[in-house]
Amino acid sequence: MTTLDFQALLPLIVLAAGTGFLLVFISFVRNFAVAFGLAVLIQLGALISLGVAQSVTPLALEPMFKVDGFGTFYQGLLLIASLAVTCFTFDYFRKFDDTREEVLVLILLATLGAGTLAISNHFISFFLGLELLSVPLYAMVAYTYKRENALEAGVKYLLLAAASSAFLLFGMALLYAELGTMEFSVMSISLSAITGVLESGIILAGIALVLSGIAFKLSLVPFHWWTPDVYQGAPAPISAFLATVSKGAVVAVGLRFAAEMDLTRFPEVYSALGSIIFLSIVFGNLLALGQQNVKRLLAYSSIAHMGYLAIAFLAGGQAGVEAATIYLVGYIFTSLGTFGVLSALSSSESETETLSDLRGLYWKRPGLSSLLTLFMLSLAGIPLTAGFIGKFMVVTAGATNFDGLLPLLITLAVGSAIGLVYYLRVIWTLFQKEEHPLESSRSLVAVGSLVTVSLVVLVIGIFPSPLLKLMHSLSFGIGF
Amino acid sequence: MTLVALLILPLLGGILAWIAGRINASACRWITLFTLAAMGGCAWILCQGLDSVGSGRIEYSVPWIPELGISLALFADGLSLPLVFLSIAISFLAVFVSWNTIHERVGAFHFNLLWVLSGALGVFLAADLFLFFFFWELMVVPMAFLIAFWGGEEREAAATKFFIFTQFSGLLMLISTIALALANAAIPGGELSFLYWDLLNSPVEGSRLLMLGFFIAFAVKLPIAPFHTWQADAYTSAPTGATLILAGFLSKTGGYGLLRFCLPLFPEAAQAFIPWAFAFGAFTIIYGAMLAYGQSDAKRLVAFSSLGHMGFILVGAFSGNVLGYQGALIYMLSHGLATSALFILVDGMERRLGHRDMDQMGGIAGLAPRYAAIGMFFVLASLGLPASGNFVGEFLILLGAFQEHVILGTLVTVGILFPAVYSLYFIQKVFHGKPTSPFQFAEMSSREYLILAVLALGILYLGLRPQGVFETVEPAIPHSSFEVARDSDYAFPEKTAVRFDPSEPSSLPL
Repeated sequence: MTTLDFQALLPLIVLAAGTGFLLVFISFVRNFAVAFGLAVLIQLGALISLGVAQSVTPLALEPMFKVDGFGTFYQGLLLIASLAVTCFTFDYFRKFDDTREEVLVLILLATLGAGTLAISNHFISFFLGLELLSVPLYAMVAYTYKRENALEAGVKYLLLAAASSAFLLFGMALLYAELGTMEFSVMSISLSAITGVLESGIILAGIALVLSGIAFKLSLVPFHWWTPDVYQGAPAPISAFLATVSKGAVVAVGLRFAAEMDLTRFPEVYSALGSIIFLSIVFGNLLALGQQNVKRLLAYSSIAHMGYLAIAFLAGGQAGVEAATIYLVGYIFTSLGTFGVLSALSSSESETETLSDLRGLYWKRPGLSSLLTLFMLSLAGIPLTAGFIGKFMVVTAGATNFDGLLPLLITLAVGSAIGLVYYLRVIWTLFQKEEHPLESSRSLVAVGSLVTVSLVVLVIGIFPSPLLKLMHSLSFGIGF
Repeated sequence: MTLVALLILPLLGGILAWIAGRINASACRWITLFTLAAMGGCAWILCQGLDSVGSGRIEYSVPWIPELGISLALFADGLSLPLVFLSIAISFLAVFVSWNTIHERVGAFHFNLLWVLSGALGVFLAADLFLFFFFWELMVVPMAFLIAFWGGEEREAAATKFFIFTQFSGLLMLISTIALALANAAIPGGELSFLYWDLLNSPVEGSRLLMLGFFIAFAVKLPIAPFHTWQADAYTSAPTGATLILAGFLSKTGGYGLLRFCLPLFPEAAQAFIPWAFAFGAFTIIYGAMLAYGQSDAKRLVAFSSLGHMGFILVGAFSGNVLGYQGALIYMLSHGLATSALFILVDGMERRLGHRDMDQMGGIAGLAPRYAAIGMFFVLASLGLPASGNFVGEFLILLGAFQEHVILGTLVTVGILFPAVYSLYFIQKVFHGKPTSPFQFAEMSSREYLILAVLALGILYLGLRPQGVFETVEPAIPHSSFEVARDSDYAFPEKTAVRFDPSEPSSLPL
């Protein structure tokens, strides 16, 4: 391992070493506040060391990793998201009457997996990262196991994720059998010989299985069944983790895998993805309509959002990857905010999750209600918020292939219109004239992190230029 | 900079009003009034400046998102400024009307009111299509809040419906906008830009489809049947102050969009669409009148009458000549004033009687003769009797439409008859006859007098001296884009044909 390699992997090394240290530390000192502070410091350290990694990009660590602008950008995004999730756990688990500190270790471990996925360029690192991300999540989802639904959600996630991992592995094996390599960039060279229709059934099956594994993690229809139950059963901060870090990492590796091999040039893949997107937008939005539980509602809406994001990817090219990433940035921060507000209203004993729990909240907690209103508007894609810029970028990417993607763009418009029904319902509920029973107060950590997240949502919504500049300066792109 | 001030003032004033509303309700109302007055001053300065610049428009531009060719570009010309004045004037009325009726969350109410105004002015002043869309969507949010938090029965459903219709049609417009900008960038030597001037007259394939995206957005906003189903619910559920905003100037953003964007951006497609637009317009006029006739709720009746009137704006905008253009503008202005007056009158009845059911009204002329007389004036003005601005507008629109398409123009002309039916029905039912059960009805208060007198003067000014508006708008009319679309053998009616002669036999309907 050369110094350059070391520098490139420094963020992951900091994270891994920090996780190990924290694990040892909490077995001697049982203090949630201190452990929390350490976890935050470790993540900040990893964020700072990203600067070091960035200075040596682009660097290929044959054959496993490819540390480039794309990878470091995603690592940074995922680290920031997990940092926010860590902050949400502080209030939520403070009064938890069981072992509390382990949840921090699990978050760090899963973030390590996510960071690995962001720079993965090989099936081995892909699978390793994915499992490193998933296995801690099983425990995190069921962490408050005494609460109803939590264990059920954990087991459900475990079973279905394991099944999808099996699909993914099988797909990888098929591709390896046919192409003789597991490295994305080498595979893309072998694949580039194929023009027109994919004739090899084995390659087609391999691609289909790998993509369905990715689609499962992104909960695209028809691989979405786990999403509402798991979102609902998991503690609110962990739902935030699922919605942001877990999905963001899989988007990163999925984009790299599919864009590197330019999969959308195959008509089979293109039309399959197109139908998946269509179904995700339509079903995600329609199923969200009837929900009384905000977490389930957000789960269904996340299905639709991943569909919108995939439109940008389907449009192809550098612009498509960029647009998808900007959409993801907006979505991640908005989701963080939404689940952050829910976490701030909940604790490990009682979750605030149904619409009736939120009724009239404005009169008790005007600040939190205003923030939730902002996040709902951002999810709906209203101007001044990051969600709007994301939607604008997606439509721009889609319009580059106007004739081909017009049906999907119209689906997006229809989906957004349906989405408004339930986003607005949440907002109206907040402002209804009823007394809200809530009395508890929140710490500076929760309030501070929420305010920061909302500022990011607003700043991206009003001045997206710095974000675009950052992406350009990182020479953002995958093998183009 | 005055342009920017016009948009920033209401945003800041709104925040200030919200803060003040936590302390003192009337302080917040006065802050709103001062903000509006300052904005009126800004608009006045712009109006004066417009005469001195040769180009006929005042511009302002700074880069906003240079990576995507988006700039914060604003401009004011003879088309946008009258509408800016209308918006500010209606907002004044909205504050006055809400003075004694809004008691809850007063600060937030005025905050939303000023932010809607800012959004609408942004729509009227934007010179960048991205910015236009930005404001187009932005103004919907505070408006929906106004309906949902201060409205009457079914308010949340009405607000959601309003929001969804605008959002969906807005997204279609966004797709069209982006496709247009990308197609423009693809022309050799072109680069990505959303600036209005860069996109004008760009040769784009499939421009009919793109125009349709814009058309639907504007048709929903106006609204035009069959895109109107949100309208009556929103107008009826909203508190009267918000109804004034909706009917007074928010609906005019749709008409403005047609005049400013739909036709000049896609002249050929618009030319091909004329028969359809006329058919939609005629249908809206007749259908709106029929719906209005079927109502027993006075506010709903006014809402549907407003729908019918929108058909004229559509026809005027699409007649593609100077007559129709000027007619549409003056009609928008006058309709904004007349409809606001009607909503204020209905609000007055509701506050006096506690309901709006016309079946239980009747004989108000006997109890409050002045109320009834003033009411009749506005009903007739709205109907388009001579001396009202509506008359001038309708007249010019029909003249313009007739030149463009004789058969459909005739059909639209026939449509004029229908509003007369429900107007007279309204007058008879509410003001005359005998009430089914006796009730008290107080005469006009001095505040109502003041508000309605200003509105009446405005309508009469537009009706008796429309020349002022015509002269202002003249330099803004995009003659060039009309000519592109026009058969070359047609002689263009020059300014002389537009002169409206106020000495024409006309009498006050009072």
